[in-house]
Order: sequence, then structure tokens, then C-alpha cells
Amino acid sequence: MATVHETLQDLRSEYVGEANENLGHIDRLIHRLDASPDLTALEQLHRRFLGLAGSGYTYGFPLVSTLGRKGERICAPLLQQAQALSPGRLVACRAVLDDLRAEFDRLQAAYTAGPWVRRGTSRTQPWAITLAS
Amino acid sequence: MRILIIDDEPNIRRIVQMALARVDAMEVLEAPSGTDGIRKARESHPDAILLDVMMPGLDGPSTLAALKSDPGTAAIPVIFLTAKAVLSELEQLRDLGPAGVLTKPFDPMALAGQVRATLRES
Repeated sequence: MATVHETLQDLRSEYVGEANENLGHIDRLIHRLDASPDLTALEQLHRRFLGLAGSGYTYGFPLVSTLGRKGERICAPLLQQAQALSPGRLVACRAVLDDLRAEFDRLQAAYTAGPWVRRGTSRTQPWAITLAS
Repeated sequence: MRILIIDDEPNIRRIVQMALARVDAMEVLEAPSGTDGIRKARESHPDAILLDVMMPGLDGPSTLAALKSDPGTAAIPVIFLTAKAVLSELEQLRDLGPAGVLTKPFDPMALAGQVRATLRES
């Protein structure tokens, strides 16, 4: 049976591996908000950023939390006032997204390079790795 | 101890499951929505519920209200688990009468202890 540390490491790998899908959703929501004011999209964008703020550090990735919080704070006041994102705030959201992409790219690279070794056998989950003993 | 985690984010449910079951041998049940969580609480009578605040559909406060209004679940302690960070928002949540409020992000190795401490204090 895997140790707690190994299980946590697998969860971290899974989290990093799933990030692109989440960032893709954020990208599409920003495009929707760029095309027209849409409170539903703004609410979803806020929730996505809040989710990253809450989960990043929990998984051991503090910068993900910091960036998620930054995005959340761009959206939250507008949501409370039912206002659309201004062009400036859209640019700020895109900048947060770019920073998140860069961070997850870095994490994905770190999780597929040494001193890690593959632990899982699944070829579809190349990030299933753990620390070399 | 049996804990029900209600959170729409699979990655939070997964790490809560690990944090409570592997670190403290708690039995963990999961629900991805408020509606599903209420049903599971009625069926399984957990010792406590960890409840996310911002969820699509039935949000955390509405889920808490539904649990409190049902005699079958009213006595189950509910702990909010929220990514909200503004103090006034956390105080608003406390005013709703949960057993406690824990914040995300959290340390997975310490979560079980925080849950037990919150339940003792409530």
C-alpha cells in the first residue's frame, strides 16, 4: 500500500496534469466576456479563479493560489455590483491566465523530469510519478 | 468518524478524502453538489459535514439551511470549507450557524486535526 506521501504525490501529479483543461475553460470564459457582457460567464470565471486560489496551496503550489486569488479579486467586486468586466480588467484577467499557464508549464516540466521517477504504469498519465528514493 | 464532503471541485474532494481517510482513518463520503449532499446526509447520517460555500446550483448557505430544516439532518454538525478570504465574508458565514468555518487552502496533513478541534469546540 502506498504511503501517505506517495498518495499525496500522486494527487499532486494528477492536479498538475488536469490543469490545462481548467485553464482552457478560463480562456474560453475570458473570450466570452470579451465578446459581450455576460454575468453567468463572469460568475463562472470568478468560481474558477476561486477554485485555484483554494486548491493551489493545498496541493503544495502556493503561486497557483496567489494567482487564483488575484483573478478572483478582479472579478469579485464586479460580480457583487452586477457589472461587466472593463477592457482593462479583461487584460488583467488574461495576464493572470498567462501567469497561471507559465506556472503550470513549469510544474508539468518539473513533474516529468528528474529527480522524479515514474511510479504509475499508465502510459496515458505520464505525470504519475513520485520522488526517487 | 464518518465525514461527508460536499464540494463541486473533484480535486478538493480527492485531497480531503486523502487527508481524512489516510491521515486519520476517518470514513469519507463525497457529494459533488448541495442537492446530492443533502440526499447523502439523509441516507448515511455522517458524524459531520464539510461543506463548500460557492457551488453552482444549491450553494453552501442554502445547503446548510436545508440540512438544518430537516429533522433527519438538523443535528449533524456542518463545517464550512471555503476559499473566501475576506474577514467580513467569513463572519457572515459564521452568522449562519455552522459548527465552524475552515478555509481553503489548507494543509492536508493538518485537516483532520482541524476538523476534530472544530467539532470539539462547537
